[in-house]
Amino acid sequence: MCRFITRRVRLATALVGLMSSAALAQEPWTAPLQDAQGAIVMRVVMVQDEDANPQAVGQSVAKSLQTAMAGTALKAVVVSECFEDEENKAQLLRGICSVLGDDLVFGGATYGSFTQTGSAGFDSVALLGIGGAGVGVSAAIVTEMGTSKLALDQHEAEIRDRLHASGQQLIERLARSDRDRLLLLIPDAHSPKNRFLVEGVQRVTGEQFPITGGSVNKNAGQSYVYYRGQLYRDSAVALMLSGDFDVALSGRLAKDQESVLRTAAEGAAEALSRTAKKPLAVLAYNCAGRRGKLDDVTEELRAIQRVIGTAVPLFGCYNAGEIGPVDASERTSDALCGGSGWHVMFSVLGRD
Amino acid sequence: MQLAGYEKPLRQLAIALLAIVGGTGMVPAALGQDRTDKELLRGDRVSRATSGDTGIRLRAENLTLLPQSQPVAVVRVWNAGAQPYAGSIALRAPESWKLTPLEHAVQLAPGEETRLSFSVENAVEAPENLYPIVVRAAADGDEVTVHRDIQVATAPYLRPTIDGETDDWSDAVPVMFRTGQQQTVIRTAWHRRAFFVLVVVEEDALQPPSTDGPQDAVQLALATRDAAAAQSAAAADRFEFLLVPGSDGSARGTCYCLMTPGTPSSVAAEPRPVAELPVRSAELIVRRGNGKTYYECSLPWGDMQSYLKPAEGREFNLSVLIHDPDGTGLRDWGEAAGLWESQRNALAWSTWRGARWRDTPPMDSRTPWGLCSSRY
Repeated sequence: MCRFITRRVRLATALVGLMSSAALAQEPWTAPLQDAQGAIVMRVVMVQDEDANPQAVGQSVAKSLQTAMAGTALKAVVVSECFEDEENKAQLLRGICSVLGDDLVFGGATYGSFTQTGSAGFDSVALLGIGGAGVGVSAAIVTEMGTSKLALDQHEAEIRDRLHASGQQLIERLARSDRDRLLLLIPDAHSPKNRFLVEGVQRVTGEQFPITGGSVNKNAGQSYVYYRGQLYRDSAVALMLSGDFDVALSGRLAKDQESVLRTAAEGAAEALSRTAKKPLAVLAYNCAGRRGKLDDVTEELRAIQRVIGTAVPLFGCYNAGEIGPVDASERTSDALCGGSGWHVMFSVLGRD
Repeated sequence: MQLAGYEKPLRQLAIALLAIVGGTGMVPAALGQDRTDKELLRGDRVSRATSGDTGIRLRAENLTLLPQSQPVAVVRVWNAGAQPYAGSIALRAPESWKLTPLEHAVQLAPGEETRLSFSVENAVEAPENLYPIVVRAAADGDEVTVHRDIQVATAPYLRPTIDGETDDWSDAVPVMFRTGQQQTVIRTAWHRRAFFVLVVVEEDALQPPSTDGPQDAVQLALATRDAAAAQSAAAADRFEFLLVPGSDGSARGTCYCLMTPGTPSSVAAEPRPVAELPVRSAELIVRRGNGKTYYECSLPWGDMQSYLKPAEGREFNLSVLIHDPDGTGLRDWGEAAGLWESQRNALAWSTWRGARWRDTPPMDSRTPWGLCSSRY
């Protein structure tokens, strides 16, 4: 009888432990700003898997990022990956986290990435490393949004209500400061649903706060966001960057090859022109549909590089919905940012 | 217009009656074009409010993305007349659709053709995959209107198993057309490694391969969106496959590759024995059930990868012929897609032993299709 009770108690304890561990993994996370005048270092690396070994690729890309950071401590890592199915994605994350630790690894599944070194699709991963005493990162996740299986044309009211609530809840979980500058959103809520999530966020941040981000890959079996090294579905991740730096945004829509190339250059130029500070990094959340219009996917990258040059770190990824300043042709409100599709959203972070 | 004898008035009366029965409610004022008769019979409803035919021809293409993905609706405009054309082209779509722009101004030299894009928002998916579209061309008091039900012709990201069971195809988009009383339904899907096709042919019986007679088969052509039309002097600009049922009662069929880009187009006219051309990495199951024949096939991208560059949002051309020699004869998706009569092209399809062709060539093997993300 005693042995029976003991076994039951041990099982219950283990279950509670597991649940606590899972709950802890979803807790908000902060790497605070230490010195407003301190360094801000942002670096981007990208690796393509040639050997069908996602875990090894994860370790390799993580080590590349450490090298690129040149001794500056990381505060957050944003992942954009395009490996196939949960098992490969989990192996990739394990590889990354084995080098960098779980807690500061965030991001999502995309359709591919582009950096200053080129464009990559299937079996590739790009990392954006954010570090230095002069930047703070605060992160949070909201899970079980309940909208991933709902279709907009049949369930619009329910999707709107759920994502409004999720967006608000997400931001309320973030540790905030008076030096908050840019919010990154990575949701499993593709266009056009993503606009409701942004509206929910704006109930807390206000409509003029800079927000950017991209909806994760919506292909069957591929839709994951990453939070503190773990995979989640039907969820949204938020990263708030704080410090003494400028943020300049732009957004452009296009649905044919000529417009895709033209707007990539225009959008990059507009964002760059909106800051007089030296660029620390350029983020580009781009639409997978735009890439599908190009005969040569590297043409868009070259168009961007002709504007921003090849020196500034560029973190670009292809998404199923983009967040940022909505193109004038589609804008329906005075909000600085919204959720949409067919866009490329640029963010230039700058500092003297 | 000078009337000659009594034949023309009788023909005009017949066409007017057809137009009214077709539901346009408008009686054509200028008639007598062979092309107009065939367009009416094939499903386009054409009407003119004019004193003459300016020669303008209109065609709304099928969408290549699902409505909720904010697709682009494309209208082809062709000046088939002898005079330059200057006018405006407008689109009328289902009520919820928001179109940008509302109309295009066009100027076309005789014989010139152009492709106009209308960005679509707020569209919702129709359960039967049919979307009524009206295209209107207006110029100097002349107005031409073409009514057509377009479909979404797209392959979502999906990985069905080639096993003869079709329940894993429910998220693929059905594209349907009729030949006589018989329906054909084409579903497509894609994955990073392969392109998938499910063709369901309503027919009384399956005519398997035999050494001496015509046989049933499905013929597919895949080409880039800007692929050139087949010409005898030029190399082919398409991949072409033939899906053939098993000859021994087995459900396992064989896929043959009839054409690859760069092959001389003249090869299309040679009735080669297909046994020399199998695609060993393809999988094909052909089975009968419920008065239908199901062709379920996976085509590894292989050499098509660098040619078509599969990606979400990629537009390309996919065309289909159904060989049903003991039933309806040749079923031509290009006809159902509304290609113009002038687009018939014998070199666009490869002949093969066992094929039975009509006297008129099939339509060109370049009808728009798309690759998209998963449906939900």
